[in-house]
Amino acid sequence: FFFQAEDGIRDFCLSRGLGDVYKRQGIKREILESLENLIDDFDKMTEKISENAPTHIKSNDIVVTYGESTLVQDFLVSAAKSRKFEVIVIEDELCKVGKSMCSKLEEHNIPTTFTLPTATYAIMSRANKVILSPNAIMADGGIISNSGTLLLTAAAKAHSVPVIVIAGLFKLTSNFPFSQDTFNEIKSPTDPLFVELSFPSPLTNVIVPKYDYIEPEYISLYITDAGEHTPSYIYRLFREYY
Amino acid sequence: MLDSKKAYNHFVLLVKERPPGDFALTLIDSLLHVLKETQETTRQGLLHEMKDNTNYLTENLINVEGLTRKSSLALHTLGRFFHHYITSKLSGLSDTSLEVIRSKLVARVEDLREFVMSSRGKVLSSALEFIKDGITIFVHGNSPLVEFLLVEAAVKHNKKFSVIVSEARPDCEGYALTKSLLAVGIAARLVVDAAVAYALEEADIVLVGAETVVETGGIINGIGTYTCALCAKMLKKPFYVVCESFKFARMYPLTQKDLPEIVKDRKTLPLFRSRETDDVTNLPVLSPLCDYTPPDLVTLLFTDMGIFTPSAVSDELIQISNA
Repeated sequence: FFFQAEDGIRDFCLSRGLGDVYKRQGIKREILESLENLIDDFDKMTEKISENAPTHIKSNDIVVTYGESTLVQDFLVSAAKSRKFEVIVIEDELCKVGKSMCSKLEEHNIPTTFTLPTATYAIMSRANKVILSPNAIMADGGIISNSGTLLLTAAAKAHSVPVIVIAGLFKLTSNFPFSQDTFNEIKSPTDPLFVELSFPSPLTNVIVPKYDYIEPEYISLYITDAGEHTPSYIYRLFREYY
Repeated sequence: MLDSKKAYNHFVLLVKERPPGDFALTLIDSLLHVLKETQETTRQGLLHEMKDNTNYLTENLINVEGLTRKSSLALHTLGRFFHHYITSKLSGLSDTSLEVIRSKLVARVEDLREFVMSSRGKVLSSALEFIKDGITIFVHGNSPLVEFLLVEAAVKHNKKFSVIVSEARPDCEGYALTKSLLAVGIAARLVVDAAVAYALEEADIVLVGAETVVETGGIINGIGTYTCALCAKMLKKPFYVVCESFKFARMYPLTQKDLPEIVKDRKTLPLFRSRETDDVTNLPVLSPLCDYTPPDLVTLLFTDMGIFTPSAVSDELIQISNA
Protein backbone atom coordinates (compact mmCIF):
# COMPACT_ATOMS: atom_id res chain seq x y z
CA PHE A 1 0.00 0.00 0.00
CA PHE A 2 2.89 2.39 -0.30
CA PHE A 3 2.29 2.63 -4.04
CA GLN A 4 0.14 5.68 -3.47
CA ALA A 5 2.96 7.46 -1.71
CA GLU A 6 5.50 6.33 -4.28
CA ASP A 7 3.41 7.67 -7.13
CA GLY A 8 3.38 11.02 -5.42
CA ILE A 9 7.18 11.04 -5.41
CA ARG A 10 7.53 9.77 -8.96
CA ASP A 11 5.16 12.30 -10.49
CA PHE A 12 6.76 15.07 -8.62
CA CYS A 13 10.24 14.07 -9.75
CA LEU A 14 9.24 13.85 -13.38
CA SER A 15 7.89 17.36 -13.38
CA ARG A 16 10.38 19.14 -11.20
CA GLY A 17 13.65 17.26 -10.86
CA LEU A 18 15.79 16.80 -7.77
CA GLY A 19 18.70 18.59 -6.20
CA ASP A 20 17.28 21.65 -4.53
CA VAL A 21 16.65 21.85 -0.79
CA TYR A 22 13.36 23.60 -1.47
CA LYS A 23 12.31 20.87 -3.89
CA ARG A 24 13.33 18.16 -1.46
CA GLN A 25 11.11 19.74 1.14
CA GLY A 26 8.36 19.76 -1.48
CA ILE A 27 8.79 16.00 -1.95
CA LYS A 28 8.66 15.51 1.79
CA ARG A 29 5.40 17.43 1.84
CA GLU A 30 3.98 15.20 -0.93
CA ILE A 31 4.94 12.04 0.92
CA LEU A 32 3.43 13.28 4.15
CA GLU A 33 0.22 14.18 2.34
CA SER A 34 -0.02 10.75 0.74
CA LEU A 35 0.61 9.02 4.04
CA GLU A 36 -2.00 11.16 5.74
CA ASN A 37 -4.51 10.21 3.06
CA LEU A 38 -3.65 6.57 3.66
CA ILE A 39 -4.14 6.91 7.43
CA ASP A 40 -7.42 8.68 6.77
CA ASP A 41 -8.53 5.80 4.56
CA PHE A 42 -7.74 3.33 7.32
CA ASP A 43 -9.65 5.37 9.88
CA LYS A 44 -12.72 5.62 7.71
CA MET A 45 -12.51 1.99 6.56
CA THR A 46 -14.45 0.42 9.41
CA GLU A 47 -17.13 3.10 9.16
CA LYS A 48 -17.60 2.61 5.42
CA ILE A 49 -17.82 -1.15 5.73
CA SER A 50 -20.18 -1.11 8.70
CA GLU A 51 -22.58 1.52 7.47
CA ASN A 52 -24.44 -1.01 5.29
CA ALA A 53 -24.54 -3.70 7.96
CA PRO A 54 -28.28 -3.34 8.68
CA THR A 55 -29.09 -4.07 4.99
CA HIS A 56 -27.24 -7.37 5.11
CA ILE A 57 -28.37 -8.67 8.48
CA LYS A 58 -32.11 -9.10 8.92
CA SER A 59 -34.01 -9.46 12.19
CA ASN A 60 -33.95 -12.93 13.69
CA ASP A 61 -31.00 -13.92 11.50
CA ILE A 62 -28.50 -16.44 12.76
CA VAL A 63 -25.05 -15.25 11.76
CA VAL A 64 -22.05 -17.58 11.94
CA THR A 65 -18.56 -16.23 12.32
CA TYR A 66 -15.12 -17.75 12.88
CA GLY A 67 -12.60 -16.86 15.56
CA GLU A 68 -12.06 -13.24 16.46
CA SER A 69 -11.99 -10.18 14.24
CA THR A 70 -12.43 -6.54 15.20
CA LEU A 71 -13.84 -5.77 11.76
CA VAL A 72 -16.54 -8.43 12.04
CA GLN A 73 -17.21 -7.25 15.58
CA ASP A 74 -17.75 -3.64 14.46
CA PHE A 75 -19.90 -4.84 11.59
CA LEU A 76 -22.14 -6.88 13.89
CA VAL A 77 -22.33 -4.14 16.50
CA SER A 78 -23.35 -1.63 13.84
CA ALA A 79 -26.13 -3.96 12.68
CA ALA A 80 -27.24 -4.63 16.27
CA LYS A 81 -28.15 -0.97 16.68
CA SER A 82 -31.24 -1.51 14.56
CA ARG A 83 -31.70 -5.28 14.32
CA LYS A 84 -32.16 -8.16 16.72
CA PHE A 85 -30.20 -11.23 15.66
CA GLU A 86 -28.13 -14.07 17.05
CA VAL A 87 -24.48 -14.89 16.48
CA ILE A 88 -22.78 -18.27 16.57
CA VAL A 89 -19.04 -17.98 17.11
CA ILE A 90 -16.99 -20.95 15.99
CA GLU A 91 -13.77 -21.30 17.90
CA ASP A 92 -10.50 -20.92 16.03
CA GLU A 93 -8.60 -23.69 17.74
CA LEU A 94 -5.17 -22.51 16.66
CA CYS A 95 -5.55 -19.05 18.17
CA LYS A 96 -8.14 -19.80 20.86
CA VAL A 97 -9.79 -16.38 20.61
CA GLY A 98 -13.45 -17.41 20.31
CA LYS A 99 -14.29 -16.72 23.93
CA SER A 100 -13.00 -13.16 23.85
CA MET A 101 -15.05 -12.54 20.67
CA CYS A 102 -18.14 -13.84 22.48
CA SER A 103 -17.62 -11.61 25.51
CA LYS A 104 -17.10 -8.54 23.31
CA LEU A 105 -20.32 -9.22 21.45
CA GLU A 106 -22.21 -9.79 24.66
CA GLU A 107 -21.13 -6.36 25.91
CA HIS A 108 -23.36 -5.01 23.14
CA ASN A 109 -26.26 -7.26 24.09
CA ILE A 110 -25.99 -9.56 21.08
CA PRO A 111 -27.06 -13.13 22.03
CA THR A 112 -24.06 -15.34 21.26
CA THR A 113 -23.49 -19.06 21.07
CA PHE A 114 -20.02 -20.55 21.25
CA THR A 115 -19.21 -23.86 19.54
CA LEU A 116 -16.23 -25.91 18.43
CA PRO A 117 -15.37 -26.48 14.76
CA THR A 118 -16.59 -30.08 15.04
CA ALA A 119 -20.16 -28.79 15.27
CA THR A 120 -19.89 -26.63 12.12
CA TYR A 121 -21.82 -28.91 9.77
CA ALA A 122 -24.46 -29.62 12.38
CA ILE A 123 -25.31 -25.97 13.10
CA MET A 124 -25.10 -24.85 9.48
CA SER A 125 -28.62 -26.02 8.70
CA ARG A 126 -29.90 -23.37 11.11
CA ALA A 127 -27.59 -20.57 9.97
CA ASN A 128 -28.71 -17.75 7.67
CA LYS A 129 -25.32 -16.35 6.75
CA VAL A 130 -21.62 -16.64 7.39
CA ILE A 131 -19.50 -13.54 7.92
CA LEU A 132 -15.72 -13.77 7.68
CA SER A 133 -12.70 -11.54 7.73
CA PRO A 134 -9.72 -12.86 5.75
CA ASN A 135 -5.96 -12.39 6.08
CA ALA A 136 -5.63 -11.58 2.38
CA ILE A 137 -7.75 -11.36 -0.75
CA MET A 138 -6.16 -13.09 -3.73
CA ALA A 139 -6.25 -11.88 -7.32
CA ASP A 140 -8.61 -14.64 -8.46
CA GLY A 141 -11.29 -13.61 -5.94
CA GLY A 142 -10.41 -16.26 -3.36
CA ILE A 143 -9.16 -15.59 0.18
CA ILE A 144 -6.42 -16.71 2.52
CA SER A 145 -7.82 -17.08 5.98
CA ASN A 146 -6.97 -18.85 9.23
CA SER A 147 -6.92 -22.62 9.20
CA GLY A 148 -10.40 -24.02 9.73
CA THR A 149 -12.19 -21.47 7.57
CA LEU A 150 -12.35 -23.86 4.63
CA LEU A 151 -14.31 -26.30 6.77
CA LEU A 152 -16.78 -23.55 7.55
CA THR A 153 -17.22 -22.36 3.95
CA ALA A 154 -17.51 -25.92 2.63
CA ALA A 155 -20.30 -26.61 5.14
CA ALA A 156 -21.94 -23.31 4.16
CA LYS A 157 -21.85 -24.25 0.48
CA ALA A 158 -23.37 -27.65 1.22
CA HIS A 159 -26.27 -25.93 2.97
CA SER A 160 -26.51 -23.05 0.48
CA VAL A 161 -25.73 -20.50 3.18
CA PRO A 162 -24.28 -17.26 1.73
CA VAL A 163 -20.71 -16.44 2.75
CA ILE A 164 -19.97 -12.74 3.15
CA VAL A 165 -16.35 -11.64 3.37
CA ILE A 166 -15.61 -8.22 4.85
CA ALA A 167 -12.20 -6.63 4.45
CA GLY A 168 -10.41 -3.38 3.80
CA LEU A 169 -8.95 -3.06 0.30
CA PHE A 170 -5.41 -3.03 1.64
CA LYS A 171 -5.75 -6.79 1.98
CA LEU A 172 -5.86 -7.19 -1.81
CA THR A 173 -2.84 -8.97 -3.33
CA SER A 174 -1.75 -9.69 -6.88
CA ASN A 175 -1.03 -13.36 -6.27
CA PHE A 176 -2.76 -16.41 -7.71
CA PRO A 177 -2.74 -19.40 -5.38
CA PHE A 178 -2.71 -22.73 -7.20
CA SER A 179 -3.25 -25.00 -4.24
CA GLN A 180 -3.57 -24.97 -0.48
CA ASP A 181 0.21 -24.93 -0.17
CA THR A 182 1.09 -22.01 -2.43
CA PHE A 183 0.79 -19.35 0.25
CA ASN A 184 0.81 -21.30 3.44
CA GLU A 185 3.00 -21.85 6.48
CA ILE A 186 3.36 -24.98 8.51
CA LYS A 187 3.47 -24.10 12.16
CA SER A 188 5.44 -26.05 14.70
CA PRO A 189 3.29 -28.22 16.91
CA THR A 190 5.45 -27.29 19.88
CA ASP A 191 4.20 -23.71 19.59
CA PRO A 192 3.06 -22.34 22.96
CA LEU A 193 -0.56 -22.61 21.76
CA PHE A 194 -0.24 -26.34 21.60
CA VAL A 195 0.96 -27.20 25.04
CA GLU A 196 -1.38 -30.18 25.43
CA LEU A 197 -0.16 -31.97 22.27
CA SER A 198 2.57 -34.40 23.13
CA PHE A 199 3.49 -37.35 20.96
CA PRO A 200 6.17 -39.54 22.56
CA SER A 201 6.71 -41.56 19.38
CA PRO A 202 8.99 -39.98 16.76
CA LEU A 203 7.01 -41.83 14.08
CA THR A 204 4.00 -39.55 14.51
CA ASN A 205 4.00 -36.59 12.14
CA VAL A 206 2.08 -33.54 13.30
CA ILE A 207 1.12 -31.13 10.51
CA VAL A 208 -0.27 -27.76 11.53
CA PRO A 209 -1.00 -25.50 8.56
CA LYS A 210 -1.49 -21.88 9.46
CA TYR A 211 -3.79 -20.80 6.61
CA ASP A 212 -6.52 -22.08 4.35
CA TYR A 213 -7.07 -20.98 0.77
CA ILE A 214 -10.74 -20.60 0.00
CA GLU A 215 -11.68 -20.64 -3.68
CA PRO A 216 -13.88 -17.89 -5.12
CA GLU A 217 -16.70 -20.42 -5.71
CA TYR A 218 -17.28 -20.61 -1.93
CA ILE A 219 -17.74 -16.86 -1.50
CA SER A 220 -20.99 -15.02 -2.22
CA LEU A 221 -20.12 -11.41 -1.55
CA TYR A 222 -17.26 -9.11 -0.68
CA ILE A 223 -17.99 -6.00 1.41
CA THR A 224 -15.04 -3.61 1.17
CA ASP A 225 -14.51 0.08 1.76
CA ALA A 226 -14.84 0.48 -2.02
CA GLY A 227 -18.33 -0.99 -2.06
CA GLU A 228 -19.87 -4.45 -2.31
CA HIS A 229 -18.74 -6.82 -5.05
CA THR A 230 -18.85 -10.41 -6.24
CA PRO A 231 -15.62 -12.46 -6.30
CA SER A 232 -15.40 -12.22 -10.11
CA TYR A 233 -15.03 -8.43 -9.82
CA ILE A 234 -11.95 -8.55 -7.61
CA TYR A 235 -9.53 -8.32 -10.55
CA ARG A 236 -11.13 -4.99 -11.44
CA LEU A 237 -10.83 -3.62 -7.92
CA PHE A 238 -7.20 -4.60 -7.92
CA ARG A 239 -6.55 -2.80 -11.16
CA GLU A 240 -8.26 0.35 -9.95
CA TYR A 241 -6.61 0.35 -6.56
CA TYR A 242 -3.10 -0.32 -7.82
CA MET B 1 -4.40 -0.87 -59.67
CA LEU B 2 -5.08 -2.46 -56.34
CA ASP B 3 -3.54 -5.88 -55.91
CA SER B 4 -5.28 -7.57 -53.02
CA LYS B 5 -3.54 -10.85 -53.64
CA LYS B 6 -0.05 -9.59 -52.84
CA ALA B 7 -0.15 -10.54 -49.18
CA TYR B 8 -1.71 -13.90 -49.96
CA ASN B 9 0.95 -14.81 -52.50
CA HIS B 10 3.72 -13.76 -50.17
CA PHE B 11 2.13 -15.77 -47.38
CA VAL B 12 2.01 -18.93 -49.47
CA LEU B 13 5.66 -18.40 -50.33
CA LEU B 14 6.74 -17.94 -46.73
CA VAL B 15 4.73 -20.93 -45.48
CA LYS B 16 6.74 -23.16 -47.84
CA GLU B 17 10.05 -21.77 -46.61
CA ARG B 18 9.47 -21.78 -42.90
CA PRO B 19 9.02 -24.67 -40.44
CA PRO B 20 5.35 -25.51 -39.90
CA GLY B 21 3.40 -24.10 -36.98
CA ASP B 22 4.63 -20.51 -36.72
CA PHE B 23 1.88 -18.91 -38.76
CA ALA B 24 1.32 -15.79 -36.72
CA LEU B 25 4.69 -14.32 -37.60
CA THR B 26 4.28 -15.40 -41.23
CA LEU B 27 1.00 -13.49 -41.41
CA ILE B 28 2.55 -10.34 -40.02
CA ASP B 29 5.54 -10.69 -42.32
CA SER B 30 3.40 -10.99 -45.42
CA LEU B 31 1.35 -7.94 -44.47
CA LEU B 32 4.55 -6.08 -43.66
CA HIS B 33 5.82 -6.99 -47.13
CA VAL B 34 2.74 -5.34 -48.65
CA LEU B 35 3.24 -2.26 -46.52
CA LYS B 36 6.89 -1.92 -47.50
CA GLU B 37 6.24 -2.30 -51.21
CA THR B 38 3.13 -0.17 -51.44
CA GLN B 39 2.77 2.11 -54.44
CA GLU B 40 -0.08 4.10 -52.91
CA THR B 41 0.24 7.87 -52.62
CA THR B 42 -2.67 8.71 -50.34
CA ARG B 43 -3.51 7.75 -46.75
CA GLN B 44 -6.92 6.39 -47.73
CA GLY B 45 -5.35 4.46 -50.55
CA LEU B 46 -2.81 2.92 -48.23
CA LEU B 47 -5.48 2.02 -45.69
CA HIS B 48 -7.65 0.56 -48.43
CA GLU B 49 -4.83 -1.55 -49.80
CA MET B 50 -3.94 -2.90 -46.36
CA LYS B 51 -7.58 -3.66 -45.62
CA ASP B 52 -8.14 -5.47 -48.91
CA ASN B 53 -4.99 -7.50 -48.55
CA THR B 54 -5.76 -8.47 -44.97
CA ASN B 55 -9.32 -9.47 -45.86
CA TYR B 56 -8.29 -11.49 -48.90
CA LEU B 57 -5.58 -13.24 -46.92
CA THR B 58 -7.76 -14.16 -43.97
CA GLU B 59 -10.62 -15.34 -46.18
CA ASN B 60 -8.40 -17.57 -48.28
CA LEU B 61 -6.30 -19.02 -45.50
CA ILE B 62 -8.11 -22.33 -45.77
CA ASN B 63 -6.79 -22.74 -49.30
CA VAL B 64 -3.19 -22.52 -48.19
CA GLU B 65 -1.37 -25.82 -48.18
CA GLY B 66 -0.01 -26.87 -44.84
CA LEU B 67 -2.38 -24.73 -42.83
CA THR B 68 -5.07 -26.54 -40.87
CA ARG B 69 -8.60 -25.11 -40.78
CA LYS B 70 -8.29 -24.65 -37.06
CA SER B 71 -5.27 -22.37 -37.21
CA SER B 72 -7.04 -20.26 -39.78
CA LEU B 73 -9.44 -19.15 -37.05
CA ALA B 74 -6.61 -17.87 -34.88
CA LEU B 75 -5.05 -16.13 -37.87
CA HIS B 76 -8.40 -14.58 -38.76
CA THR B 77 -8.41 -12.97 -35.34
CA LEU B 78 -4.82 -11.87 -35.78
CA GLY B 79 -5.67 -10.34 -39.15
CA ARG B 80 -8.47 -8.32 -37.63
CA PHE B 81 -6.23 -7.29 -34.76
CA PHE B 82 -3.53 -6.22 -37.24
CA HIS B 83 -6.02 -4.17 -39.23
CA HIS B 84 -7.25 -2.41 -36.11
CA TYR B 85 -3.67 -1.78 -35.04
CA ILE B 86 -2.81 -0.13 -38.34
CA THR B 87 -5.97 1.94 -38.53
CA SER B 88 -5.62 3.31 -35.03
CA LYS B 89 -2.01 4.30 -35.66
CA LEU B 90 -2.82 5.85 -39.01
CA SER B 91 -5.61 7.98 -37.61
CA GLY B 92 -3.22 9.24 -34.94
CA LEU B 93 -0.60 10.43 -37.41
CA SER B 94 -0.77 14.00 -38.56
CA ASP B 95 2.13 13.91 -41.01
CA THR B 96 1.47 14.93 -44.59
CA SER B 97 4.29 13.06 -46.30
CA LEU B 98 3.30 9.51 -47.16
CA GLU B 99 6.90 8.37 -46.89
CA VAL B 100 7.00 9.45 -43.27
CA ILE B 101 3.65 7.82 -42.59
CA ARG B 102 4.75 4.62 -44.23
CA SER B 103 8.00 4.43 -42.29
CA LYS B 104 6.16 5.09 -39.02
CA LEU B 105 3.63 2.37 -39.85
CA VAL B 106 6.41 -0.03 -40.73
CA ALA B 107 8.06 0.72 -37.39
CA ARG B 108 4.77 0.07 -35.59
CA VAL B 109 4.23 -3.23 -37.40
CA GLU B 110 7.75 -4.25 -36.51
CA ASP B 111 6.92 -3.49 -32.87
CA LEU B 112 3.92 -5.78 -33.25
CA ARG B 113 6.17 -8.44 -34.73
CA GLU B 114 8.51 -8.15 -31.76
CA PHE B 115 5.54 -8.45 -29.42
CA VAL B 116 4.25 -11.60 -31.15
CA MET B 117 7.73 -13.14 -31.13
CA SER B 118 8.23 -12.52 -27.44
CA SER B 119 4.71 -13.57 -26.43
CA ARG B 120 5.76 -17.20 -26.02
CA GLY B 121 8.43 -16.32 -23.48
CA LYS B 122 6.00 -14.12 -21.56
CA VAL B 123 3.36 -16.84 -21.39
CA LEU B 124 6.04 -19.20 -20.11
CA SER B 125 7.04 -16.87 -17.30
CA SER B 126 3.46 -16.36 -16.13
CA ALA B 127 2.61 -20.07 -16.39
CA LEU B 128 5.76 -21.57 -14.91
CA GLU B 129 4.55 -21.20 -11.32
CA PHE B 130 1.80 -23.73 -11.57
CA ILE B 131 4.04 -26.51 -12.93
CA LYS B 132 5.33 -27.98 -9.72
CA ASP B 133 7.55 -30.99 -9.24
CA GLY B 134 5.71 -34.26 -8.97
CA ILE B 135 2.40 -33.24 -10.54
CA THR B 136 0.55 -35.01 -13.32
CA ILE B 137 -0.64 -32.75 -16.11
CA PHE B 138 -3.46 -33.76 -18.45
CA VAL B 139 -3.15 -32.24 -21.92
CA HIS B 140 -5.70 -32.27 -24.72
CA GLY B 141 -4.64 -31.69 -28.28
CA ASN B 142 -1.31 -30.46 -29.57
CA SER B 143 -1.07 -26.73 -29.11
CA PRO B 144 2.46 -25.55 -30.04
CA LEU B 145 2.37 -23.23 -27.04
CA VAL B 146 1.58 -26.07 -24.61
CA GLU B 147 4.38 -28.14 -26.11
CA PHE B 148 6.80 -25.22 -25.78
CA LEU B 149 5.74 -24.63 -22.18
CA LEU B 150 6.16 -28.26 -21.09
CA VAL B 151 9.46 -28.75 -22.91
CA GLU B 152 10.96 -25.53 -21.51
CA ALA B 153 9.80 -26.33 -17.99
CA ALA B 154 11.37 -29.78 -18.11
CA VAL B 155 14.57 -28.86 -19.92
CA LYS B 156 15.48 -25.31 -18.87
CA HIS B 157 13.84 -25.18 -15.45
CA ASN B 158 14.40 -28.80 -14.45
CA LYS B 159 10.88 -29.49 -13.38
CA LYS B 160 9.94 -33.12 -12.89
CA PHE B 161 6.37 -33.91 -13.82
CA SER B 162 4.43 -36.48 -15.80
CA VAL B 163 1.95 -35.86 -18.58
CA ILE B 164 -1.11 -37.72 -19.78
CA VAL B 165 -1.94 -36.82 -23.38
CA SER B 166 -5.30 -37.52 -24.93
CA GLU B 167 -5.35 -38.77 -28.49
CA ALA B 168 -7.51 -35.88 -29.76
CA ARG B 169 -9.27 -37.72 -32.55
CA PRO B 170 -9.93 -37.44 -35.43
CA ASP B 171 -6.69 -35.57 -36.15
CA CYS B 172 -4.86 -37.64 -33.55
CA GLU B 173 -2.63 -34.70 -32.61
CA GLY B 174 -1.81 -36.38 -29.31
CA TYR B 175 0.57 -38.80 -31.01
CA ALA B 176 2.96 -36.07 -32.12
CA LEU B 177 2.86 -34.36 -28.75
CA THR B 178 3.61 -37.57 -26.84
CA LYS B 179 6.59 -38.28 -29.09
CA SER B 180 8.07 -34.81 -28.63
CA LEU B 181 7.60 -34.95 -24.85
CA LEU B 182 9.24 -38.35 -24.62
CA ALA B 183 12.12 -37.03 -26.70
CA VAL B 184 13.04 -34.55 -23.96
CA GLY B 185 12.61 -37.07 -21.18
CA ILE B 186 9.17 -36.16 -19.83
CA ALA B 187 7.15 -39.17 -18.66
CA ALA B 188 4.27 -38.92 -21.13
CA ARG B 189 1.47 -41.41 -21.66
CA LEU B 190 -1.13 -41.53 -24.39
CA VAL B 191 -4.79 -42.20 -23.65
CA VAL B 192 -7.88 -42.63 -25.85
CA ASP B 193 -10.45 -39.82 -25.85
CA ALA B 194 -13.06 -42.05 -24.25
CA ALA B 195 -10.77 -42.47 -21.23
CA VAL B 196 -10.55 -38.74 -20.41
CA ALA B 197 -12.66 -38.95 -17.25
CA TYR B 198 -10.82 -42.08 -16.16
CA ALA B 199 -7.42 -40.43 -16.62
CA LEU B 200 -8.44 -37.19 -14.91
CA GLU B 201 -8.69 -38.98 -11.60
CA GLU B 202 -4.94 -39.37 -11.67
CA ALA B 203 -4.21 -35.89 -13.01
CA ASP B 204 -3.64 -32.82 -10.86
CA ILE B 205 -4.29 -30.13 -13.46
CA VAL B 206 -5.61 -29.89 -17.00
CA LEU B 207 -3.76 -27.78 -19.55
CA VAL B 208 -4.94 -26.76 -23.00
CA GLY B 209 -4.13 -24.15 -25.59
CA ALA B 210 -6.78 -22.12 -27.41
CA GLU B 211 -7.51 -21.22 -31.02
CA THR B 212 -9.46 -18.21 -29.88
CA VAL B 213 -10.41 -16.65 -26.54
CA VAL B 214 -13.86 -15.08 -26.79
CA GLU B 215 -15.41 -12.13 -25.06
CA THR B 216 -17.30 -14.25 -22.53
CA GLY B 217 -13.98 -15.50 -21.17
CA GLY B 218 -14.49 -18.92 -22.70
CA ILE B 219 -12.35 -20.51 -25.40
CA ILE B 220 -12.73 -22.09 -28.82
CA ASN B 221 -10.36 -24.99 -29.19
CA GLY B 222 -10.11 -28.34 -30.97
CA ILE B 223 -13.01 -30.73 -30.53
CA GLY B 224 -12.84 -32.60 -27.24
CA THR B 225 -11.79 -29.61 -25.15
CA TYR B 226 -15.34 -29.03 -23.91
CA THR B 227 -15.53 -32.66 -22.83
CA CYS B 228 -12.27 -32.35 -20.90
CA ALA B 229 -13.46 -29.14 -19.26
CA LEU B 230 -16.74 -30.68 -18.14
CA CYS B 231 -14.96 -33.70 -16.67
CA ALA B 232 -12.40 -31.46 -14.96
CA LYS B 233 -15.14 -29.38 -13.37
CA MET B 234 -16.92 -32.48 -12.16
CA LEU B 235 -13.75 -33.98 -10.71
CA LYS B 236 -12.67 -30.63 -9.25
CA LYS B 237 -9.42 -30.36 -11.21
CA PRO B 238 -8.24 -26.88 -12.22
CA PHE B 239 -8.60 -26.22 -15.95
CA TYR B 240 -5.85 -23.89 -17.22
CA VAL B 241 -5.66 -22.32 -20.67
CA VAL B 242 -2.47 -20.91 -22.20
CA CYS B 243 -2.64 -18.60 -25.19
CA GLU B 244 -1.20 -15.43 -26.69
CA SER B 245 -3.13 -12.19 -26.38
CA PHE B 246 -3.59 -11.71 -30.14
CA LYS B 247 -6.01 -14.62 -30.03
CA PHE B 248 -8.57 -12.59 -28.11
CA ALA B 249 -11.60 -12.08 -30.37
CA ARG B 250 -14.74 -10.00 -30.07
CA MET B 251 -17.12 -12.91 -30.44
CA TYR B 252 -19.85 -13.77 -27.97
CA PRO B 253 -20.99 -17.36 -28.53
CA LEU B 254 -23.75 -18.58 -26.26
CA THR B 255 -24.08 -22.14 -27.50
CA GLN B 256 -22.09 -24.59 -29.60
CA LYS B 257 -24.15 -23.53 -32.61
CA ASP B 258 -22.74 -20.00 -32.39
CA LEU B 259 -19.27 -21.03 -33.50
CA PRO B 260 -17.86 -19.38 -36.63
CA GLU B 261 -18.68 -21.25 -39.85
CA ILE B 262 -15.07 -22.01 -40.57
CA VAL B 263 -14.75 -24.41 -37.63
CA LYS B 264 -18.24 -25.82 -37.46
CA ASP B 265 -17.81 -28.50 -40.05
CA ARG B 266 -14.77 -30.49 -41.11
CA LYS B 267 -16.24 -30.80 -44.60
CA THR B 268 -14.03 -33.04 -46.67
CA LEU B 269 -11.36 -33.92 -44.17
CA PRO B 270 -11.22 -37.57 -43.06
CA LEU B 271 -13.35 -38.15 -40.00
CA PHE B 272 -12.60 -41.61 -38.78
CA ARG B 273 -9.30 -43.39 -38.88
CA SER B 274 -10.20 -47.02 -38.65
CA ARG B 275 -10.18 -50.22 -40.60
CA GLU B 276 -13.87 -49.87 -41.24
CA THR B 277 -13.45 -46.43 -42.84
CA ASP B 278 -14.92 -47.39 -46.20
CA ASP B 279 -18.26 -48.37 -44.71
CA VAL B 280 -18.44 -45.37 -42.40
CA THR B 281 -18.00 -42.52 -44.88
CA ASN B 282 -21.44 -43.19 -46.32
CA LEU B 283 -23.19 -42.62 -43.02
CA PRO B 284 -24.52 -39.18 -42.03
CA VAL B 285 -22.11 -37.57 -39.59
CA LEU B 286 -21.90 -34.64 -37.21
CA SER B 287 -18.32 -33.48 -37.58
CA PRO B 288 -17.36 -30.23 -35.94
CA LEU B 289 -13.78 -29.05 -36.00
CA CYS B 290 -13.80 -27.03 -32.78
CA ASP B 291 -15.98 -26.61 -29.72
CA TYR B 292 -16.74 -23.78 -27.35
CA THR B 293 -15.81 -24.09 -23.67
CA PRO B 294 -17.84 -21.66 -21.52
CA PRO B 295 -16.06 -19.45 -18.96
CA ASP B 296 -17.44 -21.15 -15.87
CA LEU B 297 -15.41 -24.24 -16.74
CA VAL B 298 -12.12 -22.34 -17.12
CA THR B 299 -10.11 -21.68 -13.95
CA LEU B 300 -7.39 -19.34 -15.22
CA LEU B 301 -5.98 -18.08 -18.51
CA PHE B 302 -2.22 -17.63 -18.82
CA THR B 303 -1.37 -15.07 -21.47
CA ASP B 304 1.53 -12.84 -22.42
CA MET B 305 -0.30 -9.97 -20.72
CA GLY B 306 -0.52 -11.77 -17.40
CA ILE B 307 -2.77 -14.22 -15.61
CA PHE B 308 -6.51 -13.67 -16.06
CA THR B 309 -9.66 -15.04 -14.57
CA PRO B 310 -12.33 -15.60 -17.26
CA SER B 311 -14.28 -12.58 -16.02
CA ALA B 312 -11.25 -10.34 -16.64
CA VAL B 313 -11.02 -11.25 -20.33
CA SER B 314 -13.69 -8.91 -21.67
CA ASP B 315 -12.12 -6.01 -19.82
CA GLU B 316 -8.79 -6.84 -21.40
CA LEU B 317 -10.37 -7.05 -24.85
CA ILE B 318 -11.80 -3.59 -24.47
CA GLN B 319 -8.37 -2.30 -23.52
CA ILE B 320 -6.76 -3.95 -26.53
CA SER B 321 -9.30 -2.49 -28.92
CA ASN B 322 -8.89 0.96 -27.42
CA ALA B 323 -5.10 0.82 -27.42
